[in-house]
Amino acid sequence: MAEPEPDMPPALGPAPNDAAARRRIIAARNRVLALALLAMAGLFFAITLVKLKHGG
Amino acid sequence: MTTATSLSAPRLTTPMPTDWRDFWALTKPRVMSLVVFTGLCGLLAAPVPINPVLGFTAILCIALGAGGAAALNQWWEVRLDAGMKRTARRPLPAGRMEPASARDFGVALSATSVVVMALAIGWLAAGILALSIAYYVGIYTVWLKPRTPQNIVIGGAAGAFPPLIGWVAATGHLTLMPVLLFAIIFFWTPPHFWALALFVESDYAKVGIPMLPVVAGEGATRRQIMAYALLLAPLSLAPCLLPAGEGGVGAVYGGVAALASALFVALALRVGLRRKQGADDAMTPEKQLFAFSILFLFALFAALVADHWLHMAGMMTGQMTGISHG
Repeated sequence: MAEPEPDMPPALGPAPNDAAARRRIIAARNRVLALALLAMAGLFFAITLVKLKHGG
Repeated sequence: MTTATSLSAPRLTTPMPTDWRDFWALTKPRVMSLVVFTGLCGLLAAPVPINPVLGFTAILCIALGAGGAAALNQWWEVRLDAGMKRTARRPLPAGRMEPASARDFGVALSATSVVVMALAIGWLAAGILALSIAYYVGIYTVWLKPRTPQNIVIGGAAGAFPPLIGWVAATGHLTLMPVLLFAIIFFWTPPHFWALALFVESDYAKVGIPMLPVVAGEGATRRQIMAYALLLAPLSLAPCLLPAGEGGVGAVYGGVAALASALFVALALRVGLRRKQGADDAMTPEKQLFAFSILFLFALFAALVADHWLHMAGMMTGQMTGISHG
């Protein structure tokens, strides 16, 4: 078993490609979550308007 | 340098974060589309019109509830899914998602659907939605699916709730008509799934799920397909017997239901009275019954809505004529 040489990269953490993919996945997930929350906020606003108008 | 890199110890990588598409897949979108369709038909066929915003909210809550229940189902069945070819590539058994994420996602969707339904629509619709989620996850998935070969019949009740919820969301109360819609889907489910089970090789037996064709055999499955189809036919026509004020329907639905039921029974009898002819049997009657069963449900519920709208249009025309003559 060869000993790791002192100048090799640390064994912890993702490889550069992994890190880029990770960032992409998290960014896409955040965008979808933000859109869902925005849509829910819009829906609650519309429901409130309907309830106020019709006294429900 | 190159040698050092290639001989390095295995990199301690943390798992990749779950893609949003895996969360979407966890909600079983194809099943959800049928749930949304039947729920929407229940809502649109109700004798009381609902505000479009509230109608949209009710359907969204039904979809969220179905998605949440599907996520919880997959969280519970991760080991079973891993053992079957058809389900092994789902996000959980494939290792693309942590089980706790699926559980939390399922709980969040389910809770959101019930709370929003209660606040925006009403407590009765929310209560039935909560009951349908608890039924699918608790009674079907956890308790009875691994214990009885009638699991498809029991699971069918979970899929039968959406039109009932849609109807109650519009009217605010439970009457005989939405119960009939529930019963139609309940009795439709066994012949639909067992027809599929006869021609698709599944590995449920491998993971210990007692599906009827495996446990009771092909003959018993075919007999039960016939029995459920014969029960479904009069039930499909029953809405014609109700008065219009209680959501009863007219000739459009009656005609479609009579024709579709006759075809369904004919196809089910053909499946019920035959046996598999060796390994090279194409199983055409079973495939035709399965395909037609999907068309049957869509046609029946579409006719229900069309009939209601024609009735409403007729009433409006009558009122307009009355006003112009008055």
